Amino acid sequence: MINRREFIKTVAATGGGFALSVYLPAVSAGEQADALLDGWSPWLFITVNDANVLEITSYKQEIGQGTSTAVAMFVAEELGADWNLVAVKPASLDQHARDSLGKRSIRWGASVGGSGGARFSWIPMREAGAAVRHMFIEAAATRWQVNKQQCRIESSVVYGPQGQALTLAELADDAANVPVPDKVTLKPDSAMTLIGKSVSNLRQKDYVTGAMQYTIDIQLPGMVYAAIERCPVFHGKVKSFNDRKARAMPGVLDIIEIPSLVATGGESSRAGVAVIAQSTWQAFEARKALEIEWDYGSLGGKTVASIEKQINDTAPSEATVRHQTGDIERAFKQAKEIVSAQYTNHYQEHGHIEPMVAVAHYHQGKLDLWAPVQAAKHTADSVADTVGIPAENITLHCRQAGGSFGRKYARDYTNEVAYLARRCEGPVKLTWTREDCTQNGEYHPFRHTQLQAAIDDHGDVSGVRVNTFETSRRRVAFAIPYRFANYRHSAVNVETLVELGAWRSVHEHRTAFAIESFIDELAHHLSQDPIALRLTMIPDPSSLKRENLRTRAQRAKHVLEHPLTQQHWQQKLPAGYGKGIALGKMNETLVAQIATVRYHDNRYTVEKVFCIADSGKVFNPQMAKGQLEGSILWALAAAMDGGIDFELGRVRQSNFHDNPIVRFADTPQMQIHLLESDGPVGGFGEPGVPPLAPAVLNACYAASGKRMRTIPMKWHT
Amino acid sequence: MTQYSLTINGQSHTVDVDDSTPLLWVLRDTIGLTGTKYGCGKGLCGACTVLVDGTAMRSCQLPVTSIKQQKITTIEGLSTDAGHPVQQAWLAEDVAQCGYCQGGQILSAVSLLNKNPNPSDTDINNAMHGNLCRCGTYPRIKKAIKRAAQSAGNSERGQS
Repeated sequence: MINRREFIKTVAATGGGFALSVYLPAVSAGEQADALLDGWSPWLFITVNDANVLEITSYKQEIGQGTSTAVAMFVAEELGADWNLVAVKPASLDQHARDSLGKRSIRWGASVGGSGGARFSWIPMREAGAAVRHMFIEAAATRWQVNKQQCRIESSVVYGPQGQALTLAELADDAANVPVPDKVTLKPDSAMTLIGKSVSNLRQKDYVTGAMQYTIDIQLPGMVYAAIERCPVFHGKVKSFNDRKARAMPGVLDIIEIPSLVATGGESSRAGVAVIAQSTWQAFEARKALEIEWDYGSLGGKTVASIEKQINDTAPSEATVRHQTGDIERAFKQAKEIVSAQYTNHYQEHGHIEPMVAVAHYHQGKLDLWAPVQAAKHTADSVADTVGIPAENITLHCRQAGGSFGRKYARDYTNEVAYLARRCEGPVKLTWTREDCTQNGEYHPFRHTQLQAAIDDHGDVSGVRVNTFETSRRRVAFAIPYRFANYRHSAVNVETLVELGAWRSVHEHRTAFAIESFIDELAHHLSQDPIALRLTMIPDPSSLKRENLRTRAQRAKHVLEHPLTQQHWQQKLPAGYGKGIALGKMNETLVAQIATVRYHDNRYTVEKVFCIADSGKVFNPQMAKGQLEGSILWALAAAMDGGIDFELGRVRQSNFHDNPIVRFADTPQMQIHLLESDGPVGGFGEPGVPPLAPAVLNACYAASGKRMRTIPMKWHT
Repeated sequence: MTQYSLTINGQSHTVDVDDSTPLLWVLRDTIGLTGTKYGCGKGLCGACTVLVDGTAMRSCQLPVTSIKQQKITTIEGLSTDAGHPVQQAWLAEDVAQCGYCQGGQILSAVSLLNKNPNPSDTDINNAMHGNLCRCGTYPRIKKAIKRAAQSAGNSERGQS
């Protein structure tokens, strides 16, 4: 159980006024909390300034998902703040933050990912807001010599029983001296005035005026500009290089060879040669004049066919059993027939429009880093290792990301800039080109999935076998919202041709594509309705002990059985059209999607996507809807025209012409429905991604009679 | 290095840059107007969109040598307080998610509405084809453009 005094650690009056720092684990409650208790962090600072503005400084990074606005809503709701007097800003990770932590890791608290920003802060941030409310009420009651029960806060003003009124700013010094309460009471949902309402992203105005300062916009006195020519093959090296021509180019200050930098416990950057120049353009241009001889290493000649060969050459005995229930051998031995299919997910790149950019300044054994990170501590620690200085000597200035989707969780670009800063006088800005981003990504892994179902004498599915072949070093789950009496998942890890990373919805995307396509095939094979068949495979929630599994089962049923889903599914379509349905999950949010596809002239057009989601609670409907729409368009590109492949070990794609994302006119009509239910809250950043590809490919089958088992579907053979 | 005189957001700037430098990098690195973004460097994404005499163009594809007397407008030049009707429409529709591409999106929309105050869906599709948004805000961009067209129409009718 979390002790409140530890949760809200200190009240620090920094030069007068009210400032509160809040420490919390990554999850608010439940079984996961215990596992993550070593991940406590000073997670945010709440201050009230002289203009009566409630300012929240948060490590929950803004990457386009709206979490900073959600965090502010939670605090403001409980405090009783005027929403027009609320501001959020990104935190810096510095020695002060580290000192206040002691030895505890702040990795979890200082990162965003897994659609957890709002989910993990829903209870703790309201508790923080309620604590602040208590402290201001206490301060006002003491000042006015009245009972605190008679005081209340509305619109950032504290009111007393005889019409007394003071702003939070006017009471800030007093409130700062009130002890942090041991216990707080949260508002019941019925009393909420802000949460559940559609409110604007707090940063909207800066976005539309061009005032938002992204990392790429940072200008510092004496700053120099870097660009890196990297080995086109992963794990390759620089054999030799001639920089005579490059050094003669305008504005060039230095040429620095840069080795592959392995991030602490994880991914590696590529070896290359950096140009340091007086402007970004000069660095880009001079880079072209470098003459480099590469040692491509063992991946030099490889292509996707090399991965496929590894898969074909793998004997079944080489697979490791990851999960098994029932008697799978018997189910298949007694089967009346066996249905098999194989699915392929190709590598995918992120395509965030802000390229990878970071700024670093090394000075007297210390390093300042500016970057659009998803994981502050994770990044700062690796940079410290790269530069060879203690982590306490790193100050990381977190900046809003111009899109990240998992990519900026990785530390290749921050390690590169830190390495260069160590060798330069003054600050260095490293800008990747679009080609750099496309060809040196931390990709969504290639995965090949073999699925088999045993059908018994009654025509029922009596067992399911899954084999996954994944280009990953890690142990990868095949977590599905279904339960089969007889089930086995075996896995084989095969060699990857590129670095791998987190890509919006991570494993769920690959898993949903295979299982949701396969269930559709089974439904057609068994002449059953795809929704009805899914419902027979979802476990009975009351049979599940673990809360998260029970919640998932309930919500899976909720979205599939909902009258709107049924209504959309029953709609008749003209000839040449087809509908496909799929279910997806990401943590506690369950999403069903129905895609409507038109097949004409041998082409498929996705005309409509119906999307229904149950996340437990919806904090801000307009943002939740925006995240689901964005997820649909994200996944649509991957399903149809995305994909990364290779020639001689090099990524073939280079820019948006051959690694396209969805364009304006290709946007299908989207109908989003948000459901609420009891139980833990889920997030919205990713859960809209997993069901889209199978829904679309299932719809393509319904429209054309052709089954495609590869995404991107342009590579279906 | 050559000296160039540019009129940007109504102000005249003299810059000393290499002839090959695209307008994008002159705006960003030399003048410090960073609202114009680098996205692809090939005119494929539209993040670098500026108005050249009121028409949307990709500044990454405009060598500084190609700019003569034309008036350049960047997102900073549209208004400083988000008061332009298109910016107002963007706020009303809560368009932006990460926001990075939105300056370019807004300027493409302004360019469209300059020429075509009452665009059809097809007109909007065509005008916005060159501006990519990876967050997937297109449905809201479409609504915002229609809202801006509507509000401009209303204020004109109000004046007459």
